[in-house]
Amino acid sequence: MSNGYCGRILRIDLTSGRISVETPDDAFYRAALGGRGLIAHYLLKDLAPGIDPLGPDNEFILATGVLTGAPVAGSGRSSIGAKSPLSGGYGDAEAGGYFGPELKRAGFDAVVIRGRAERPVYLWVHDGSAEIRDASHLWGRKAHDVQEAIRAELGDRGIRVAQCGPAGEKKVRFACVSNDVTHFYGRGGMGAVMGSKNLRAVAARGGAAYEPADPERLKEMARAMSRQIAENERGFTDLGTTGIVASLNAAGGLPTRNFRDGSFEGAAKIDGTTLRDTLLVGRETCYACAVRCKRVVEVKEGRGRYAVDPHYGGPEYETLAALGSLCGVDDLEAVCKANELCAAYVLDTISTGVAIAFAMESYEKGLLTKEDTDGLDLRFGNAEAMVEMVERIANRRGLGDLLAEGVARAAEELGPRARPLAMHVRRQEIPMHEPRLKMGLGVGYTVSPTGADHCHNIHDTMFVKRVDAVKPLGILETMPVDDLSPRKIRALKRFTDLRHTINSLGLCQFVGWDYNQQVELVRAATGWNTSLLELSLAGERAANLARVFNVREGLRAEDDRLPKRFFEGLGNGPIAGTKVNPRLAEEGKGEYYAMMGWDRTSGVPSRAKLAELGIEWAAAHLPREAAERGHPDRRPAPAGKGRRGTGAPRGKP
Amino acid sequence: MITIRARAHGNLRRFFPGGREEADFTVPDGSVVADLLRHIGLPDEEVWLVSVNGRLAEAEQALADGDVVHVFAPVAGGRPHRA
Repeated sequence: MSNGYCGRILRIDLTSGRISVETPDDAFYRAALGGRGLIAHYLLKDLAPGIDPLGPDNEFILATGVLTGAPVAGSGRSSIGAKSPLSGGYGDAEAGGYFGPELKRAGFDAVVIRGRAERPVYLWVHDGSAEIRDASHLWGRKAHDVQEAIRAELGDRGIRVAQCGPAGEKKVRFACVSNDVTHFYGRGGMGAVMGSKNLRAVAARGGAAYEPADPERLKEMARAMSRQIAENERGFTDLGTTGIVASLNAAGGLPTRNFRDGSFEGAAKIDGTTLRDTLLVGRETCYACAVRCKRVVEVKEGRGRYAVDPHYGGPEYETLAALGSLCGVDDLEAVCKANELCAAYVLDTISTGVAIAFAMESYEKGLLTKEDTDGLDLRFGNAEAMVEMVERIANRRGLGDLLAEGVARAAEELGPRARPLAMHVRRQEIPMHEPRLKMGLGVGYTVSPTGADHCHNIHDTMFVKRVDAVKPLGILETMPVDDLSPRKIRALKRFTDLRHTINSLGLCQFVGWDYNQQVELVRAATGWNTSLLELSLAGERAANLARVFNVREGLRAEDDRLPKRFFEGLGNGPIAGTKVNPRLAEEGKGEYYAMMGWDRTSGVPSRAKLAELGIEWAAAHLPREAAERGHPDRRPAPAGKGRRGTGAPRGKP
Repeated sequence: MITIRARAHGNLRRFFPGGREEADFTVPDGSVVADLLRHIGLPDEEVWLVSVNGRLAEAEQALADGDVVHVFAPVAGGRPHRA
């Protein structure tokens, strides 16, 4: 490995058992950076339109970025991508931990897996080679068991394991993938794709060192960041993301009872300080990171109503809200138990919580009866019922089987009265951030490549007091949280471009590298004479490739919309009655499209934008009808000549 | 003089004595929220919200002995906003 990447991408066909290696050139790495940029490129080039996301033609891609594994805080990130079985469109998810750096040490920047194994298998990647191994004995077992079994079988405690769990085996549409059983590639149902391929795990181990172009500079930066973390991040280390339960509740934007309310009377029982003072037994971290924002909780057998296994870490903010306030549950032990179960079965806690909250509201409204719930009293606030529903979803038992399809499909099944209760954008459940508090984020939900997402999005609360951090992006003025004018949309566009960038680089958003330092990190790691402009364009390129993918799958502008509930008044709390103005949200969406170089009405990327980003080949993937919608003044490309697969030859990225 | 118990959220504890998350502050009778923040040394641009006894408060709200004041930093996705 030199200058931040190995130059080798592993290709696996699980149907034939064929294993091969691609060696893309340096220009590919510089344009894609890795992670999201790499995944979007491969999915667009390799997948035929309309394939079944849970069939053998889908690809399951593990990808590092050029900073993954660099000896600096925040470099533990890696990505997983596939066509999402939840949204039906572009899907990817990122996680910290140690798996990404280890995959690189094993000699590969990415692994691209297609086909379907006849029997359960796992992939063993080590020291530049790969092996498909039997996993029949691992099937059906919980995550920690599986990890321990693989490490024992291969005789090495240092092996890092990424895996889908029993939930992925059962193709729960929001099953996720974990690594080290506590770090989650959470969104979009990547675990279901893995399970559909009969691929239970990918194990990695290697001895290749990360070799940056300028190791001294990286060391210097790492030392400076350690000092900064020690001086300024004590609050974040102390509470991790759980600290914001109290803040959002105070502001009236803590998602409560399926987004009916924004203020939860039980918030103090499930917030970060209560967690710290009661169940917390440790703090964990990711590769090379001194922040230590990860929680470890435990309830010993017989000490509470639930035993909670510390092997599975502890809840993040998203989980406390999704399985807590969103379900009206103020029982912290129950929330921690549900978190442990989600980790053991490998379920996305956000989608799981939203699915349960949807069921609770449906039950209260009489759309589900005790007969449907097999006797469970599924009202808001019933902690035991919430925990039980996690089990049922993971095992697709009873009502859990319906909820395992995600709230959009479940609502279709339950009928028109259930639809307004299904909180999703493009079938991906809404994360724990309230658009009636953060209005620009609401627009961000609608235009995200993956459906509702809070990581590649703005949080309007960032811009209310100081904008020093984002001034290098040209965002120079503070803005209120409910501003949806073009200046807010400009902030959304510029900020999310850079979020796509760090999700490509393999860099964590929770470490305080400012934009110029991020550029410096890439320069020192790769030796490229790069700039914030070039990195920002890489993020924009990834977003455009994903958009073309989605348009090819039939995405239309009318699909980019918020659930109706956000246009109605918030039920309680300091901003009770506040609603998103649907006209402003729609205008904001059009403004974002236009700023992205997409057609303001249809959201179809323009050829000129794709050309500016150096991906003019992607235009050939736009279906003729969409291309016409996007370009009223142009004739579409003649049919017959490379509707797909133009640009670089297939088999080479 | 009145004594106020204040709790810092996010990274605002770095402005509290010894970096503690909670502390008692003694301020003159008739003080308002803004006076307390000045007394603690909390710059306005670091503070997103203030609550007094569990309710959001404006800068000019009067304080009484024994009030519990929470000060919140602007938040980003899952962490205190890094200005």
